[in-house]
Amino acid sequence: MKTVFSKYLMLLNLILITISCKSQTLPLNTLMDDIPQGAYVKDLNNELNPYIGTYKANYKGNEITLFIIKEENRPTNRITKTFFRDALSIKYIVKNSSGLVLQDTSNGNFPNIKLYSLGINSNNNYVTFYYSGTNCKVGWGSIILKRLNSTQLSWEYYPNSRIINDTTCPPGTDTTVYLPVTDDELIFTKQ
Amino acid sequence: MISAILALSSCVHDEVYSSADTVSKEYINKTLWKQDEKYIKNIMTVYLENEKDIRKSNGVPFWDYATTVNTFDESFLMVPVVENKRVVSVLQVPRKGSKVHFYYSRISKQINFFQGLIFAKHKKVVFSESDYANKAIICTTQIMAVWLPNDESDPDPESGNGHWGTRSVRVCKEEKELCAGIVNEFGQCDGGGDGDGGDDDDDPGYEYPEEVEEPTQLPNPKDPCEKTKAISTDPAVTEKVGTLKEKSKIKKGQPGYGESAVEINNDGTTSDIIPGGDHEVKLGSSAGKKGAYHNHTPTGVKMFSPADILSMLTYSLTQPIGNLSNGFLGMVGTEKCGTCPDGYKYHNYIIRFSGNSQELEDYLFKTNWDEDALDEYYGDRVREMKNNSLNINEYGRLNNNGLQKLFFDMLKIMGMEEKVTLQKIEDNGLVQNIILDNAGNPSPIQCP
Repeated sequence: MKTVFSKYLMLLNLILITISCKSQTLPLNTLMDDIPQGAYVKDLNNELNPYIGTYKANYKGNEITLFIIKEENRPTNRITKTFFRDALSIKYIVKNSSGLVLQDTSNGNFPNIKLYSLGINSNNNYVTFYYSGTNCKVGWGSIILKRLNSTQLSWEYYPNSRIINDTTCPPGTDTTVYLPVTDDELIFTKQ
Repeated sequence: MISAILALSSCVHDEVYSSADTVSKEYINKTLWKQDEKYIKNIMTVYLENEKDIRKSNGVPFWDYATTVNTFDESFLMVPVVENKRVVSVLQVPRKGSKVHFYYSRISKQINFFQGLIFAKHKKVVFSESDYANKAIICTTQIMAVWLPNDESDPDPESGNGHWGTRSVRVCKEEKELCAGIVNEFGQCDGGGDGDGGDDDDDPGYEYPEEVEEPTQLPNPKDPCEKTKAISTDPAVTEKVGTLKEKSKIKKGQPGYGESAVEINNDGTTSDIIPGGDHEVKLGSSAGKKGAYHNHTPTGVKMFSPADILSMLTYSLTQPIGNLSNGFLGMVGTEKCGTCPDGYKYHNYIIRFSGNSQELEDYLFKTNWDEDALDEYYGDRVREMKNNSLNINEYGRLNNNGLQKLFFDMLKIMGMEEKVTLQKIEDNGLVQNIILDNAGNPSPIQCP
């Protein structure tokens, strides 16, 4: 009985592998126009791996902790198509000088706040991230993490502007951007 | 034998597509739209009298299928030129004053349009701009759908399988440039003309049959150029946009950093400057307002975002039917510039909706926008464009070309191509309409 079950499991695996092999696998940084529906944009050379880890920095009295993980096969929607992409994903905690938590996206309380990589420039050792902004998407924009060495990352954050109204952002919503808005090479250190 | 067949073929060809035949009979409009018949008939007469000189393409013009593309001021037409049941080129005839100019184009989109118009068994109007006065802007379009059957043995859409494919022609007033030769499939003027907007020494044109006065240059309230000039020359607006420009220079950490806005009411009055936060500004109801101007901060992209485009639609929604394009959204952004007079380069743009009310409703109420997906794509495109030196300035930021390309890319992914007008306001107040040329690159057209 056990043998039959094992054979059945192997067959199932084979089918799954065959199905997964049918979607086109492309390298990171493939141009958006060149990614077909359902493709898998894969970190073929594990270029994202060196960025994985927990990092800390202090900025204007606040302590910022970044938890950087790699998400494989992340579903990616681009309106006219969906595909899958390996990406770095960041959750963070920002505390003030008293240790009070100002914002914590690592606890699942902010599902709408997204921060993950769009692409990597391995020649210049940096990754570009998309940040959805805080509540009401205020502060949405790009963040660049540059790998200075095996333990340090520099941080640049370029928020865009946003028009809101009472419908898109109900009165009383906290729209403070807690992440450090700076392009002055704030350094994060690996813990 | 072969010669005989060729000769016979030639005779048959001449018999079927005799130019004289096509113009000797009375003109009958066989298109799906109302046409400027007076202009078509006059141009037929000019063509007949000068065919020997004008003709630069095989085939004959099918005048019954000529279209003036929703213009009715005796200013423009295009007529398909047909050979062996195929549209081989399109003869275009703009009028400049008392002269008319003939040039041929071989642009596949135009050829496909007329091929369907003449030969498709089943066709229908998808949307005619003349149905929507608000769309009478600098560019006019005619769109139809032709039935493309899966099986030619049953080409009837009522009974057979297939699908409707849309085809369109579009013409912009400023694009009615002269080309003494033939405009090829890339939109370039080949052989005998420079297509640079008309050098009358190269192409003197032909006399238009009757005394025609210059088209009056009275401001057209439906013209987006006039609408934006009215804004860009309004002292109250320019003063407040000036304030926003100054604000857009202020870097994070300096006093006054952040986003602000000003609203322009339907009666032309303006609000006070509306202060916002570091990265956002809150606007009130769009009722009673034509639009708003806001600034982008130095850290952000100096171009409308997807959310900005959707905000603009809310101003169009409160405009009267037929004048939806009165609604607008303006944006100013500033960046350092080593070669600019005051050390700064200003990005001052306005967008207006140019679709119809049904489309506006669809975009606003029937589309479930995934704003994250739109913003992520925006980020993807910015990142990709920065790898192309044509799109960036000396500081590695997107230049005019890159910013405008980004905007049109966003319109495309939002399904709003040709539904939003992008206008750039220069520092001296001059207004440009930014359109995509035939190669898909942003191209400015100076407002008169």
